Amino acid sequence: MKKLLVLAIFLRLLVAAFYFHPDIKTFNFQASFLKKGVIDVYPYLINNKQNLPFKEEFVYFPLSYFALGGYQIAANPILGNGFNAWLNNASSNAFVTDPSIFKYLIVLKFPYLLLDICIAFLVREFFKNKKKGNLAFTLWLFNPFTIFLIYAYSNVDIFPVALTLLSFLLIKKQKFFPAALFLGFAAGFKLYPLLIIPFLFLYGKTLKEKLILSVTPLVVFLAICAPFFSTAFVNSALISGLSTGVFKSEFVTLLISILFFYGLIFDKKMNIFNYWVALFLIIFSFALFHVQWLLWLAPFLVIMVIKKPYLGLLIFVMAVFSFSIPILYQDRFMTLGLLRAYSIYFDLLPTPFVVVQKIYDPANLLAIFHSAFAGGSMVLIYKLLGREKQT
Amino acid sequence: MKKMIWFTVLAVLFSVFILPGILALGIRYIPYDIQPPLEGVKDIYGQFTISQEFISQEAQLAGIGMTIKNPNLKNKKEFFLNLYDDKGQMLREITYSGANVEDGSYLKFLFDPIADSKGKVYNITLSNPSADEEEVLGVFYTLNKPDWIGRMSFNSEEQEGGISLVTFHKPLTKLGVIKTIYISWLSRLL
Repeated sequence: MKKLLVLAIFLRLLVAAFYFHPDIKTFNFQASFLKKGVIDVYPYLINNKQNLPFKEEFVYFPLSYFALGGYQIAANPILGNGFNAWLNNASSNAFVTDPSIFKYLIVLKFPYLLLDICIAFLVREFFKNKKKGNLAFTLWLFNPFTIFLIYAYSNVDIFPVALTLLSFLLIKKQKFFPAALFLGFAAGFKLYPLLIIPFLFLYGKTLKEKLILSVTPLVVFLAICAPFFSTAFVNSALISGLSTGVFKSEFVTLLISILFFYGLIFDKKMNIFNYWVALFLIIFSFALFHVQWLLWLAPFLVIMVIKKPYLGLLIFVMAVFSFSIPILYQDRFMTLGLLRAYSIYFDLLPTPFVVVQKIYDPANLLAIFHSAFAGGSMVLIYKLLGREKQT
Repeated sequence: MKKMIWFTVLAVLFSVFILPGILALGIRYIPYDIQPPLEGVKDIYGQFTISQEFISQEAQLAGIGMTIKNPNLKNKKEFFLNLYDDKGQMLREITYSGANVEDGSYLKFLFDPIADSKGKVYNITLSNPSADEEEVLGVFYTLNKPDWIGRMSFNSEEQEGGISLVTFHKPLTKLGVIKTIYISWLSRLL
């Protein structure tokens, strides 16, 4: 097991060092203001927009800022003197050709590695059977999907993902209050864990349990956000496209409502784990999602594959489709742009969108992939909540 | 599970070490240098043209890239890039339609390669003759030009700075491109 862990870390370091997504530079630039003493980054970025090399607002929630900014302070001696200049360099070519870029990428992604390994151990804890636990541990460490999701796309969502997984583990152990606390902390990084709250309310068996599970995360989330509440915070984070994007599709709201009423009226032995999976399968099936969002589900699907091996092929095929969808977006950084740290020559290649355009409408192809993914999701949800649950 | 471990190891090693080389096979033109910073704009329309002298640093000159503004996408007219040698003889003419130019887009004017271009002086002229002052196209220039970018003239008057341009060269072999990419990567790594 130790050898496997070392191999897993080695593979992760390779991808972390050489694949570059510009998000990591953007949100680390924003988080760098913590070391200059800026506590409330939301109005700061808006008020100083004119003088800053990057004009983007901070779209994440406060704990993301403090986690990334705090880590930068701690890692400052390793990052070295040139790091701030690199962060502030707005020349898209100059900063990827900087000889230190590989060091910066490894150091900046190091917290992801720690959380990634933590997730592997957490996933193992979902099993009483040690052998199955080890299988889940290995599957988490050895699947290319999560490695690329986390390290190629510089996925800061790993913070809330680790916390929500911990929260679900505590729910499984009937430790509702700490579970609810960790869910609230997860929302302090990114809003999406709060989507499960209506279902947690249904899941609680007594009124006390219902209140602990549904109110505590909200209180924690509000306590985290309260000191930063301002127009800047609301516009940048709370109602940004990143937070509200999942509800742009009417189907998402409709199907989540159906899921809720099914749980309310028909499901007397609710398995909250299955509802979490169903909730996000619905969102990814009917909304245009960011590739990074797929990580929200990944550890839960790994657990599911080990618990129900016959779902493995379906989940694998769905993973392939779910990766194919963002690849067809008109966004270079979903594909070729990730290779810019090797060479800026890759800017000269056409994206998959442009290549497909020469023979077929990429929007149509994207719709086909998305529909295929949605079809697989519906089958999986049926198996989780329908007849499958009885077995 | 062993199969999954092998699949993951091979997928990662392939993506990190092999994939860049395979993708490099698709690169048809290599830029010389990176684009200088964009620090100002000269508007071209009607008789207002812009010219730029430069020395090709590589053989097989096959294109010129620059950033063009098309405010509010008003320009739908044809515009031209003419390439001249140092004796004023026109070598290439490339036509673009303003209808295909988004505001602030990076355009590549590609043409048949000039084999023996290395070290030779060329001059380009950009003109937008059928546009009026409501349909200007803005050509970005830089005040921090490298040595190989020479004099810039706007409407025949010499100006400070130079067009923020990049020259493209056809690689002699595909293998050469792959080698260049891996050398650039490894030189920064080691």
